[in-house]
Amino acid sequence: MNEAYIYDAVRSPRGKGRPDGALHTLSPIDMGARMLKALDERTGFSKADPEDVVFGVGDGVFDQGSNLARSAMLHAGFPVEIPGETVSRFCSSGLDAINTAAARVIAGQGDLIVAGGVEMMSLIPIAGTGGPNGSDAKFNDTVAFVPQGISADLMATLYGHSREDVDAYAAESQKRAAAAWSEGRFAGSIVEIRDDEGELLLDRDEYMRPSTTRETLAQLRPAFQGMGEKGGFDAIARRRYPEVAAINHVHTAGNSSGIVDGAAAMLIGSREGGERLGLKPRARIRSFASVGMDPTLMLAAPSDATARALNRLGMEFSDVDLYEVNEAFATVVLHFMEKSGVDHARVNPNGGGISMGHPIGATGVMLINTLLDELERTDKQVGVATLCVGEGMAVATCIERVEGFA
Amino acid sequence: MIFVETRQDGIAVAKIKSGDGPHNTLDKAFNERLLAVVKELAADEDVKGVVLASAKDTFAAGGDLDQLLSVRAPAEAAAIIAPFTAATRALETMGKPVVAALNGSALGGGYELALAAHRRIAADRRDARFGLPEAGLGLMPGAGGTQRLPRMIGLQPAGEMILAGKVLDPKEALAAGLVDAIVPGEALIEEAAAWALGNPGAQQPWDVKRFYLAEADPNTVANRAWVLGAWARQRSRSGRDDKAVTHILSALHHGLERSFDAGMAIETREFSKLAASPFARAKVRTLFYGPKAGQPKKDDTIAAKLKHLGVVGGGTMGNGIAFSAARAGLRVTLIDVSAQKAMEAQDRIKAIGERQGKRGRLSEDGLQDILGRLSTTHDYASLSDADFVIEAVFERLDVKHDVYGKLEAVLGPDVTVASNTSSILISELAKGFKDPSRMIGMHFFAPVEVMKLLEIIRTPETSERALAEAHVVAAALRKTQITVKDGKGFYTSRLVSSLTAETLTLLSEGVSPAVIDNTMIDMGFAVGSAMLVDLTKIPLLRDIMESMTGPGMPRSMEGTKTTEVLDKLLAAGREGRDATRGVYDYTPEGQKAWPGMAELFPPTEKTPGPDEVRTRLMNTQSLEAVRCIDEGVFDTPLGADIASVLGWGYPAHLGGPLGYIDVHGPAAIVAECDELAKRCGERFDVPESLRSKAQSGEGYYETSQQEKAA
Repeated sequence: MNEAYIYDAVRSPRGKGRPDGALHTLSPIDMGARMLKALDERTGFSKADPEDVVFGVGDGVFDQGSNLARSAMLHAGFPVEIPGETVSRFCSSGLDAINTAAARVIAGQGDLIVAGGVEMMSLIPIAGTGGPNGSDAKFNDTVAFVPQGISADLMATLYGHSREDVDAYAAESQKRAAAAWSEGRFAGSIVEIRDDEGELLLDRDEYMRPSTTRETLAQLRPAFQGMGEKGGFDAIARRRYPEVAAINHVHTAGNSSGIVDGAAAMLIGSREGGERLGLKPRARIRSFASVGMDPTLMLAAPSDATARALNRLGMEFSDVDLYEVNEAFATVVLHFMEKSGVDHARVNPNGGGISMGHPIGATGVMLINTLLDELERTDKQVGVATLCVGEGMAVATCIERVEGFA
Repeated sequence: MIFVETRQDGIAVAKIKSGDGPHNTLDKAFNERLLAVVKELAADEDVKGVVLASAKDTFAAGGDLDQLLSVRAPAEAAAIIAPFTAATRALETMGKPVVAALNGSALGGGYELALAAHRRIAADRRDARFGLPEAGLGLMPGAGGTQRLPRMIGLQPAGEMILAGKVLDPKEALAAGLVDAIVPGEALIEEAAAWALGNPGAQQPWDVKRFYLAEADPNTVANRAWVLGAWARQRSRSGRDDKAVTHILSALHHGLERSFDAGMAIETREFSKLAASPFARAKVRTLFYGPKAGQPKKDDTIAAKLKHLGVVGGGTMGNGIAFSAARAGLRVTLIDVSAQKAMEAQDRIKAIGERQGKRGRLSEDGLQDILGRLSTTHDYASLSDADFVIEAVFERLDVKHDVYGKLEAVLGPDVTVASNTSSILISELAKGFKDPSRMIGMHFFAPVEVMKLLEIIRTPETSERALAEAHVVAAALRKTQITVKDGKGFYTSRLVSSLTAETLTLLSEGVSPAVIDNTMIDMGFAVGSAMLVDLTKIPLLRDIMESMTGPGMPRSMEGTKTTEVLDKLLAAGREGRDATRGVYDYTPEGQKAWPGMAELFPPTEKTPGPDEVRTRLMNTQSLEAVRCIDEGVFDTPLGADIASVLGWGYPAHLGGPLGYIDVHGPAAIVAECDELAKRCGERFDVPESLRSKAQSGEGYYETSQQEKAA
């Protein structure tokens, strides 16, 4: 088996996922192409006969559809000999792109593969294009379908996370993100985004609200109460979890992940691939895992995915220095910490989806990128990135910094 | 039968006549005949156009439910409708204009027949109704309704109508696009023929090349959101196995994203699966046939004599009875204890009418008429010419006997007195009269003006005349009647007490109210039985439970914990919903779990989970209903089942406590109860009559599938 090394990684700043967001007027292929060019400027991968480009896309339809990886490569003007594919597993699509690329390198079926992800939520709204999950009545019956916000509130109810708990977590996320930006901790990976005329559109995460406090968060209305109580989803969730008398609607726009546009890319390869480019590896991908769980509760499996990935290495939660747990909803991270016993100091040290946004298909790549930057900055070794996933799943990936090839 | 007459101008008028009743019902034989006629019309070169009309007073009432009830496998359902769907498809594609001349209502399959015409012209008749009401009986349109209507008027309007089983009057139907024109009845056939002659190239929109209607595209963002929203709204409150909504949405969603013919294939598949399910059969049986079961024949001689109704007691029940009777056209005199109380009752009855008015069920004039027929007083002498009296005073034997003494003094010797009691034996009440044969029970349900059910209780002494008169009064009030033998709790209170006793026992074993209610709502109950404890008010429920114990106590209450559980709750200051503190907390933000429950009744390792909760709550009702049959409490299982649906919201798709034995299978019920008897004691002992059903496989309505398979 080969080792799969991470050679370099880039990410875009995240634009607000709204019509007035800084990136809204770009197309998803523009974002993908910009990331690929930036990664090529830093690594030169396009001239080293890469095996493939794998992009994660959460909702691969319309301008984000067909095969965004191949389209973005061609759009960027790279050689037609470089192929591309997309992978999709909702929120973990980007991490799955990394895992797919790594698996192929480990299996000896390619020595340089670009993994990336794109999502422009300002253009393609989350779940706006559907799928059986939500619009097929029989499937909905089978899985007791509820939207993820209801799952998050159900989870908070079952695990006893109060509004105060989730708001406190969100305030801390904003604080950490603000500190990270002010100290320039993301500087090594952020690629500023310009339009065709070279006009700067965005060079830092646009979604953040550094002035956020628990008090300002407490003012926000529950985001999912209406659809839960009037729309019937609470009753559907209660019938699946009959011990619940009433769902506590604690999640708001302030303690849930932000809707944003964003993209990221990362070069993964074997030792031979890296040597061909004369690159030093920054980390190796140690293990990865995916798990499923009840789709109604949906979001509670990151600790299980992490445990499975660590188990392959004979490791435990305490053997990991840093975690990036996607902040889909505050309750997800709280539950991860409670179940794993990992202290908040080692989880999401630079904020996350609540403070900076969660561009579905790109997030997994951004998490590994941010994790690696932080391991380097603090001179630590082992990190895990994990995300909860729609329809009741989770994915985790474990990386370890390396000083040259093993 | 279909009578075809081809006119000089080449228009063939096809008049349908099917079924023995006043309305055309479409059965397999008719469907086959229709297919043959359409083939003849298509082949006949003299025929330039077709007018579909009716030889009866209305156009067509829909599919033959008797035939549908005999269906056991999807293929049998498909075989019934296959000739109909083939005929309607042939009709609309034979290259000749087809007009449906709707002389009256066209409902269900009848409206689906009209949908296959290129134009629908309705006679101007206020009593006509159009639409697809199948969902109301747990069924779905199976002859093109889910495919043609949305392709005509859009997914959302069609879907809302089909899911609600809503039917429209002519004006509404015209506005919604269900009919194209309304003409005077006498001009109907001519107008229809004229349209056919003027539109020789008529084609259905969906048969025009490149047909696309965005409103009917299930994959637009708006329509996807609608499907999800409709699914959640409907399925959050329908029972797990009550799947009409799911099959309807599937036919709409998957049918509309494909060609028309593929859509029809999908609709047939969904319809057949649904129609063959025991749950749909149970719902049709209980909701359609149930209200007719055990209903006495109308006795016009007695009805002509009953003009003046006396009501004693101006509480909620008495006011509701007085209002309903006055609305039914009877002269009503309501007696309360004082002039002041009598005046207050008058105001409250007026308020009932105003509430009905706000809901559009009563006009201002109608209310004035009702009030004109009603007087309230404290003077019993006003009842001297009363023809029938209903007593609805406080539920205490001495109070009621006191009233009977006063009645006896003023009433004619032959006047029947009915007590609206829910818990006192009628034979005990009858002791308040010199002649106990004039006493009968009429157990109304609150709110009287809304609830359809009326339980009539006879004792061995009750005269046939008193019974006949009670039936007439009940019929005038348009109630669905169940007639039962006197005995503790009669039928409805006996069953509800069984359910409540088991609920309280589960609570005492540490089961949370939420598990009980969510489990019952999942079965299809609108309100769970733990919530019902709070709604009843705990002090009152304690009285009821106490009255149900002692001699004659239902077997289902043996070994249950009732008053001791309620006493513990009362001691903890829990009185129910109105007091905002019951087995739940009621806060401004809504209903919440009360943490104190777990302290009063701590869960243990033996605390039952949702499966045991379900089997205990469902089976205690079914067992008690079986015992009622064994004791001859009522005559017809179907009457008892519809009473359960109307009385305490038993899910219709499970049939009722007896129908549930059929859909679940007698053998499965017996096995569950044998298991429960070991754990909970004799109240789950299986009556011999049920055990023998488990052995024979014969249910109360049909042979159970499991036994048939075995």
